[in-house]
Amino acid sequence: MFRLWGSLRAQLVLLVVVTTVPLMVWVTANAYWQARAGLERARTNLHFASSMGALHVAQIIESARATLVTVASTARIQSGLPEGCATFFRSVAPQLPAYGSLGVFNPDGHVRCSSLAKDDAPVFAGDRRYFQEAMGAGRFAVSTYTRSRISQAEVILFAQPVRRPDDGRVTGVAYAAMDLRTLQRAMDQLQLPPITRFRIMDRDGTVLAASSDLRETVGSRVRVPVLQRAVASAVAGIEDGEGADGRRAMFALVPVGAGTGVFVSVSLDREVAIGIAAKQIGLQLLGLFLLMLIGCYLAWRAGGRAILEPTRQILEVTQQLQMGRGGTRVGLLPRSTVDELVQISAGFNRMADALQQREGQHVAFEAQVRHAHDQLDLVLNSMKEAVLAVDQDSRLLLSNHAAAMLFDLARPRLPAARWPAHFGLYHAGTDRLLSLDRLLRPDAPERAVADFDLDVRKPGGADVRTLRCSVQPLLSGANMFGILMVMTDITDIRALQAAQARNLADLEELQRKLVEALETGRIGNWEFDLAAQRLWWSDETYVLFGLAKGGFDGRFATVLQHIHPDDRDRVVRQRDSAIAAGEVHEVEYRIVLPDGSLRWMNQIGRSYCDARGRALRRAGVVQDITERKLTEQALLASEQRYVALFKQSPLPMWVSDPASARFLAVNEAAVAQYGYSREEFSALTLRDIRPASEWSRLEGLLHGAGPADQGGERWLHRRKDGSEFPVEIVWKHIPHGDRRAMFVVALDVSARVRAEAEVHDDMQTLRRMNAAAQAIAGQATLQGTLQQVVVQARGVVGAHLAVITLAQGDDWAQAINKVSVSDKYGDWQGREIPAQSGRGMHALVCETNQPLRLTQAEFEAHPRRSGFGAHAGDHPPVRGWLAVPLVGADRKNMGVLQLADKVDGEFSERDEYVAIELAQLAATAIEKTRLIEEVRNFNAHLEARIARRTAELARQEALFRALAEQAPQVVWTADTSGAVSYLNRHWFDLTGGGAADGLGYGWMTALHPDDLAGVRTQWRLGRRGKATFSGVRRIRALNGSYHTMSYRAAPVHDALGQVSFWVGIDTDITEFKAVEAALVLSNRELAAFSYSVSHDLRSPLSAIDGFSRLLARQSGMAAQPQAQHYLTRIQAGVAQMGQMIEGLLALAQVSRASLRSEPVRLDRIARDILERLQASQPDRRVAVTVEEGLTLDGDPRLLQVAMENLLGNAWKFSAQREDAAIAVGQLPGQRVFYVQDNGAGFDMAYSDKLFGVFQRLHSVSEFPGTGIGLATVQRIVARHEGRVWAQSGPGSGATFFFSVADGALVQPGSG
Amino acid sequence: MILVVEDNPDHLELTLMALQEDGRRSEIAVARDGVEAISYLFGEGVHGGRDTTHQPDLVLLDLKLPKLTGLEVLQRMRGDPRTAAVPVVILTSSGEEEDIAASYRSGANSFMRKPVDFGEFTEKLRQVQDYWLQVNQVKASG
Repeated sequence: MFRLWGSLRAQLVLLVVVTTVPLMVWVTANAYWQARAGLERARTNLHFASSMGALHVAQIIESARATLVTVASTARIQSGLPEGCATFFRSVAPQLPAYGSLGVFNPDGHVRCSSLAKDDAPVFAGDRRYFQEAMGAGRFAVSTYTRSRISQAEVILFAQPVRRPDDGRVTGVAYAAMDLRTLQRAMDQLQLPPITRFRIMDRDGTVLAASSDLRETVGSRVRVPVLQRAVASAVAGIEDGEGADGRRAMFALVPVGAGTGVFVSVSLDREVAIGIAAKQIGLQLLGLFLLMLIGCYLAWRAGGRAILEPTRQILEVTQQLQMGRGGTRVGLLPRSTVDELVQISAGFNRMADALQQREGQHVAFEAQVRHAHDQLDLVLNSMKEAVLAVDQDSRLLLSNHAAAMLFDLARPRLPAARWPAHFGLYHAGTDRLLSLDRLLRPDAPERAVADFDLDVRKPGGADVRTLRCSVQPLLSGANMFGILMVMTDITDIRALQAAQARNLADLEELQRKLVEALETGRIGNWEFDLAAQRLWWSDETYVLFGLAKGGFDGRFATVLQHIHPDDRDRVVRQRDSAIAAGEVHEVEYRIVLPDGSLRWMNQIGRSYCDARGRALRRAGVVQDITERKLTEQALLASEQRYVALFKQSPLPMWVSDPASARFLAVNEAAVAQYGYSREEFSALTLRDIRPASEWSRLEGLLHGAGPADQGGERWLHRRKDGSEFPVEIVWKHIPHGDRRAMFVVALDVSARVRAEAEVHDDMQTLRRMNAAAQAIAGQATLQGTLQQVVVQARGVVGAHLAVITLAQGDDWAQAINKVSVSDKYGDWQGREIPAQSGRGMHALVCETNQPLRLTQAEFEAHPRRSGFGAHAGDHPPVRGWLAVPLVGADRKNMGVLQLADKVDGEFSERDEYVAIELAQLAATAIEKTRLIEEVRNFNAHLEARIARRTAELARQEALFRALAEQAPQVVWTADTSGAVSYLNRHWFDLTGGGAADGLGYGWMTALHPDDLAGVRTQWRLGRRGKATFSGVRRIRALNGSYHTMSYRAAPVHDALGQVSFWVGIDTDITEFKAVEAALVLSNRELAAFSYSVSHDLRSPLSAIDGFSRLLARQSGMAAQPQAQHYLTRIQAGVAQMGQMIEGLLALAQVSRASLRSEPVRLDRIARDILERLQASQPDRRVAVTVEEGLTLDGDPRLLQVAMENLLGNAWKFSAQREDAAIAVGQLPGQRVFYVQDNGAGFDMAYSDKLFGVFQRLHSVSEFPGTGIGLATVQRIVARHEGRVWAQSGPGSGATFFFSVADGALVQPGSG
Repeated sequence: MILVVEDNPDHLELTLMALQEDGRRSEIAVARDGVEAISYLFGEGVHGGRDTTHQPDLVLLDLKLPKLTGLEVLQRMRGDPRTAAVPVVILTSSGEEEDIAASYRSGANSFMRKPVDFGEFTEKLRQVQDYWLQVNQVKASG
């Protein structure tokens, strides 16, 4: 069945239609709304235009009325007399060019007089409606369309009754006729919207004026029925209707004024309003319909080619494949086929390929399976083991020939579960029948044991066979579906194994015992086959000989090579005799091990004979006896060494009996040490070699519970001669024969005790040295140091006399001496030390720089000894003399330290060392104190210099302070934290506070609170940048007023470049600020002044003008032309004054206005202005040239004003030329623009006055003007950073140039 | 009815003349300063008992007035529902942009600068009257 919308191509077509229809609906709706909006706009426009037209016409009528009222109020007309009437109108008419004729009718309808000189034929207007209205109703009337009876022109007339002032009687009707062409021109100038057309009609529907393209004839009835009806009913409003040309249009009708009978209609083509929308909709709908048709056709064709054809091909191939033709494939599809179908057909072909390949694989696989099955059968049947497979239901699945031989499986259908009972299958060695059911259970415990044994016992038969049974589950995936049993007959193997096992156990036991015995005794076995002359060794024997197992060839000769050469003969001899005798032999010998060491061996052997007593072989053991042999030898050597040691030792030794304390043995050293002979010793006890004081201690040692062995105890022993000496003894209990004895070694330690005492003395000396060094170093003066050196040297060394001599250059007479003496020289205390000569022994020490130590004898015999000088007589003899040089850090001699008359004995070497040390110490101390004294001197000098410098600085500071104090500004300094440290007099004069009020942060209280934040910010910035900072701040003065200060502060740097402090100056700028404020105030006043000019100066002007005009209307005034003239002059003056005020205001506005800068098209501005000028004076012919594309950046409003002035001037000054020409342009390549005219020009001599306010170069009567225009231009150009200048000559035209800067505008207040 | 608020007697007289030019006979009320204008409009003080539901069809308001300025009067009017919709035409000799802007901000319907030329002034006033009394519609016509 064919379903129309089931087809894909039909659905495509439907889709195109469905997409297009909403589009068409939308287009239609859109056009409808556009038309509606257009109509609405048109209505608004029409309403506006018709109101404007009506207002304009009303103004024309109103001005006519005003004119006629003035005429009617003229006494000459009111009188009703013809005299002077014509003259009046002829004089008035030129001033009122709008009216073709002016005049007055007599009450009878005849023209009394008119401005037209046609007196010969009196014109009658009594039949005219306007006349009747004016005459009858006595009010102003407007005529309908009228062809003038005087001039035959088409006119509209205005009539005003003339009343006599005394009785109010109407004496005539003044009229004014306006040519309809004038009306037409006035309407043309109105500039209604360009798409609208106007008509002016009278109350009869006669056309008075109409847009020129309306094909309306002035004077005939309007050709639009709608308007005819509307005029007839005099209803204002907007109507639709057919125009004169038959086109649909909208007409707005408005009556002019009240009772004038004039109507203004403005029309607009309906098509203009909605035409575009209506036209477009048809085209758009047609286009969319065509588009839809094309879309449907394309969809139908594309659907057929791209979808249907390929689909048919694929279907055919599918049917071929179904019929089994596997090689069929989808052929090449048409090129326009959609991608999806191409992919489907490719996939389809791949699927067919895969199917064909699968089929081939399947056949090959089947062949493989068959082959494998055959091979499995062959393997199974060739196996000796019985193979059986059983399924879960006890059905036999598989068996081989071996199984058939074991069990009679030929009987079919015996379920496996009954096999154990039938064939007698028992668990090995039990009466338990095998349960196949259990094996077949998935959780059978037997299966955990992979293999188990079975007994096969035929009923009634004794033959039992054992089978090794191996069971494996048959698995399909994780599920068991049966078991596979493999059974092997192991009956014979079992029997054999059992027999072997028994034999093996016996043998193992035997071997174990043997090996144990041999290993324990490090005994090796050997056996010698006498017939074969071969020797066999057990494992242990190899080990004993140090050989690897099998590392021996079994020959006796080889064994001999291992035996020590000294023992070989003995071994061979003993062996041969033993073999000959057939008896047991034992021999000890040494073997040489492979590493060269020796080992002692003990070998035992015996012969084994055959039945006839002939020796067949010898066997025996060999044992390692090295240890035993070595011990025996060591013991022997030890004893010998001990005896020798005891006898020959240099240390006294003895062996004593602790019980009796007698000596058992004494060595030679003891004999020598103690002085007793060996025989005497044997009679002595231990007590006899000790002083009695040690006896009790000895008893404790002998009988006490002291340790068996002891060493290091110190005792006092006594020799035979009674001298005592310290010993350290070491003793040990030893066996002596069958008794316990004590072995003692006594070490004489007297030398060590002496050495210890000396060390103690040295320590004492060192301590004294240390104290001496501290005492010396503690001295600050040279004298004190020297004194301390001699005192300490004498004390440390222990001498009666000490002298230190400090050389001062080579002059010994100037040398400084210090002396210290003991009590022995008590009466020498304080004696003058004689000056030393440079020749004495001390001088020798100084010369050599070497110490000199002499005994008393040597001293007294020394060749350079100078004696004791003056004291030679009473000076006691000195016991020894010691002198050491004082050597400075530069190794030069400084003097000498002498010590004489040692307290105890002679001066020792140690004394010399001590003295040298002290001298060294003294030299260092002396140098140090000298240095200190030098430094002290230097410091004193330095202080003097500093004092001088300080005084100088103080003077300078006083100078600067005086300068700062006298400065007319506030001068201050502040530290780096901002605390003020100095303020000058001006500050205190200004603020009146004391020093405490301003310093530190106190000055901040005088600061205006609003300025605090600003000062802080500046300070932070300055401090961060280490740079000068400045600003303005207000400081409260003594009288409470605030002074404005301009401050500036700079950092002062120290030598390292760090800020040391800040210096600042505050300058009082209060007065300057006041002037500035006054200036601002003055500017404001100027602004207020210009405002008041605007408001207040104009106000009385209005009054003057108003009242002068009212005065002119007063009856009686009209009769006085002179008064009228004056009033006119007053009004002209007022108008001029008004214009000047306007100009001044504009000028002020230019200065005050804030400007914005944007691109301005100067050419467009110029053209607009020129068009307006032309419209104001349509009669003038001026050749205008404006350069295209004049553009500059500036304020558009001000530039407009400037151009208005410049072009206005050009227009004005070229008025008297027939061939007037005005050009606007730009100088090529410059930002200079110009306005040029060929008018009156001016004398360049006065060009400097050109731009001054109120400056004029022409008289007002020549060219009207206020003299402000060019001043305004100059100010505008100046606001644009530009310049204005002019070039001219009288009668040769003028060119005004002006330049502007690039986008720079001067804002008010900034210049 | 027209309310004229004007302090300058010269201007007031000229304004009244101009309004009655052309034989118009509009009912005219006069206030000589801002306070009087307010008391008239809201029936207070000397105008106590005036029916305030009957408000002027047009107010001609000068800006520079003693006591209350024209702008203040205007703001008071716009703040009161009784006078919020009354058409107000500012009539002043100033042409300052600021004055114009401030007037419209305060809710003036129109701003008219008094021309020096009396003829022009008369003509303008006539147009104002024509428009605000005849063309313009304040209330739904019954």
